[in-house]
Amino acid sequence: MVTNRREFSKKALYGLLALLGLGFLIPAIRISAPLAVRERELAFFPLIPEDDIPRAGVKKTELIFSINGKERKTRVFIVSSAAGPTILSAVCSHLGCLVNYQKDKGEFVCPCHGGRYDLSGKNIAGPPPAPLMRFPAMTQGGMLMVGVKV
Amino acid sequence: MMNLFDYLNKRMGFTSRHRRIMDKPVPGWINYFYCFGGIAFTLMILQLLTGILLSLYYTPTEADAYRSIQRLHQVVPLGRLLRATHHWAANLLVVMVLAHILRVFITGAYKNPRELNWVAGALLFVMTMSFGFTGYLLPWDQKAYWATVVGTNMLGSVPLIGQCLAGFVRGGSEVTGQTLLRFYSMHMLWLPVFTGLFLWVHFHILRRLGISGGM
Repeated sequence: MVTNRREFSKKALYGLLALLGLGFLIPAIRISAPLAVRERELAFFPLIPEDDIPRAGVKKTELIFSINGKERKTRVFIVSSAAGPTILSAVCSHLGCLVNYQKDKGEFVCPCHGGRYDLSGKNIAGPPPAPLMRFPAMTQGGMLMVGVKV
Repeated sequence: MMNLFDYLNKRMGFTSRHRRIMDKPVPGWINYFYCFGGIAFTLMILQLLTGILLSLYYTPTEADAYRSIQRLHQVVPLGRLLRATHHWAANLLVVMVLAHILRVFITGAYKNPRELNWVAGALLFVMTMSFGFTGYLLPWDQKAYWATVVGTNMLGSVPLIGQCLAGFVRGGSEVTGQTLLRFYSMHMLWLPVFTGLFLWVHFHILRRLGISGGM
């Protein structure tokens, strides 16, 4: 088949080029393939025992949840009223700083740009374009459970 | 396979043309220092290919540019590899272009009758650096933003026309989303077109005059 050195080198070169082409083509196809969009599902994670929910006022705490087996943490406020507790994310809707609760004014205040939210999480002053995020919550087995889309 | 090749070749006649381009004997005295130009060109091809793939996911807008790159890293299979390849090939390209310039300079390959090829090469060098400068802004992070603020301010310090020039490059008096769009356009369309043109000139002259005889 291979008659001489020139033929061999030629075939070797073409083979090498083909390999190089495949080496690019396969990743290229993988990269440009349509993305599988994963449906996010609501999952509930325990926040605090039911008995620790304040009767009235605001309690700051950390919600620990997991996405794809990876543990994540986010700061939330439990705002208690006659209608029951609401769980608000402490992440400011402006640029993602963590807001603080100002007890004397009964408002959440962002330390970064002075955005303000009322107790229902509604943005009332400053740059925030949207209310604080509200998590769905329920009580189950003596625990306050908070829903996160994972 | 061979039949299809023959079919096309009969009608398009590309082997005769390819013979002329590809079957050029290389002088025997040549050494590895003469590879830098070819390596630089190969890297440019790699940049073209990876750049085309990157363009599938990058969005050149103020709000989404940074996020689109995060998405590329987190969601796209091999996305990190793709961006890393584009990034490192870009770095290596500048190194190889400089090495090529040094080789040409040291061996005196720019001398008569090859002055015009030096000019085309110098323009290609400017293109390469412009690619680097415009591409640096596209990740739209703090480093990119401030590097562009400094870079365009330097342009603004050119006597008399500086402010006007900087305005043209930024698309305004400050670095904004408009600047991002301009840099994206330059990086994706203007520079590739002109680089292709100058590369053609560069190679055309090289083929007409051959590799210089060395020192």
